[in-house]
Amino acid sequence: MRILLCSLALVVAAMTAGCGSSSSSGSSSGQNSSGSTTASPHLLTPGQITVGIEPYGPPFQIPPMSHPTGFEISVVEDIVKKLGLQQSDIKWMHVPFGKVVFPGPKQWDMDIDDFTVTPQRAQVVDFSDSYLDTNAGVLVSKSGKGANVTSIADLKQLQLCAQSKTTDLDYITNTIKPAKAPLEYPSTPLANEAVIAGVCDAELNDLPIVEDAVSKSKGKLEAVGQIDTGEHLGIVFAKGNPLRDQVNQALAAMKADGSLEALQKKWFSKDLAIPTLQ
Amino acid sequence: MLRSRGFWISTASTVVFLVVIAVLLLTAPGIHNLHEGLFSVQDMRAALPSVWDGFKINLKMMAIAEVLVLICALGVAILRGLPGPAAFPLRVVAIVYTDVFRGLPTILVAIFIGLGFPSLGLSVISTQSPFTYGVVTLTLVYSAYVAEVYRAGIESVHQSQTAAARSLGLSYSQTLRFVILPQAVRRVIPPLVNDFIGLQKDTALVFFIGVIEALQAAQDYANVTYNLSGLTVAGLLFIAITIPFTRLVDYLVKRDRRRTQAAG
Repeated sequence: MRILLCSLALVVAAMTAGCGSSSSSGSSSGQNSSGSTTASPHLLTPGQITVGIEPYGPPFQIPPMSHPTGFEISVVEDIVKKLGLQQSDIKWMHVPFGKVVFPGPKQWDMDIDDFTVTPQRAQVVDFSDSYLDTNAGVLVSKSGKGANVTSIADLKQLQLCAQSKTTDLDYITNTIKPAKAPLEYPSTPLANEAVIAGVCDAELNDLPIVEDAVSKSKGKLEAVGQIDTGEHLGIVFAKGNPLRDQVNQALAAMKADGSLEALQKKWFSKDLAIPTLQ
Repeated sequence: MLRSRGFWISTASTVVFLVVIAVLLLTAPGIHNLHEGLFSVQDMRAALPSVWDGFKINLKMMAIAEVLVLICALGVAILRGLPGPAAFPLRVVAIVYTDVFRGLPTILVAIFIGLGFPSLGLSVISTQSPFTYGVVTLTLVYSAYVAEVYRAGIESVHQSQTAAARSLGLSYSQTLRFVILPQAVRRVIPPLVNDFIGLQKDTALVFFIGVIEALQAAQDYANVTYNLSGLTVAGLLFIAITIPFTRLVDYLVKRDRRRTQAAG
């Protein structure tokens, strides 16, 4: 029975890897599974799921570290329930970016932190299926130069900025190609502050983050548009970690029963109708 | 003969030392992880162009800030040493300035200036580039350190020097200019170099106010590829500047000492 389950998991793994991100499973050495072959979730510590986060980005993750909240936290809590564990079995761990991508054994089972799936990144880590499909939002100050933006071409003449670790900087440099070199800030609050101060005319960030910033800015900030970047956010696993397939099944179930959509409705403001820039 | 024996002993001990370190490192069970994550030659090569572009910003920033720091810090040190009751407020200003800016974390100063100044809406102060705000930040922070270095140098010159100069009819400023400072500055060159190396490394902190310098460029490479080897490139570039800089100053100090002693 156990062998049957294992081979089933392997087949599922092969299938999802095949239709998911390209070239991800070819060289997976599986050094992290450390030989545990139980049918229950593959975890570093049995009965406890260690989840890496960096809770500084509302509405995805909201501090404090001891009791984080936010959309991604809710997603993980739902996944964990679907895996047959309790909410109290989750151990949140602060994992900075460098530790997420550094090769070698990981101290966490999975890591969720607003990671956009790209083929290049998928050569280093494994991603789950998408738990959120999103676009980039354009955040400007209501009294600034960015307030009149109506097209992507308008952005070229402005001082643009992004937050580091996002794919938006890459988009600015390689697709928008602005006249001035973009600025980059280590955190969302600093980038938003730069927009308010007028150092940066327009910030690109994930649409939910932009909407959240607008709703908290007391009328200072505005979302002038979204750019159809078609990003998929995925949960990160060590290469070859079989937990990914179980998480993917949980995500599929959450999509089927509507609970994932309910979480998006709960955490993201939906009253802002933001035009798509061309 | 004795000298060549010493040479061979030091060479042998150095070789043994390096071999021990190399063996310890290379036999570590996770060495391939380190190699892949931080020292991947392919990634280092790929990251080099953008990291080098960023490093040019660090270089420009250190060059400008170091000159400004040398000038501003001297001014602060002189203010602090001014004699007489009338100069009391100036001394207080100098003391408060050094206390505050040595105490504040550089990142905080960078954020206050880089994001605070533009939001004031003033004409000149609020319209500078993040690069300029970075230079201002480093100048403010490091002038506080270097002013104290200067002060230590000035106070290390024996009081009889001042007394002698004044009795020869030199004014206070002439005494400072021709007698005290030339001796004081020579003595504090090694600690000055120390502070300058600190400043060179702290140019990386301006990424908090948006400037994409070497470390941030390396971080961006890591962000696209999920490989951190660009950081190693940035580290090598910094070392490639600071080590020759230190050796050059050592050489200059030595040459200067030989000259002054020969003249004396």
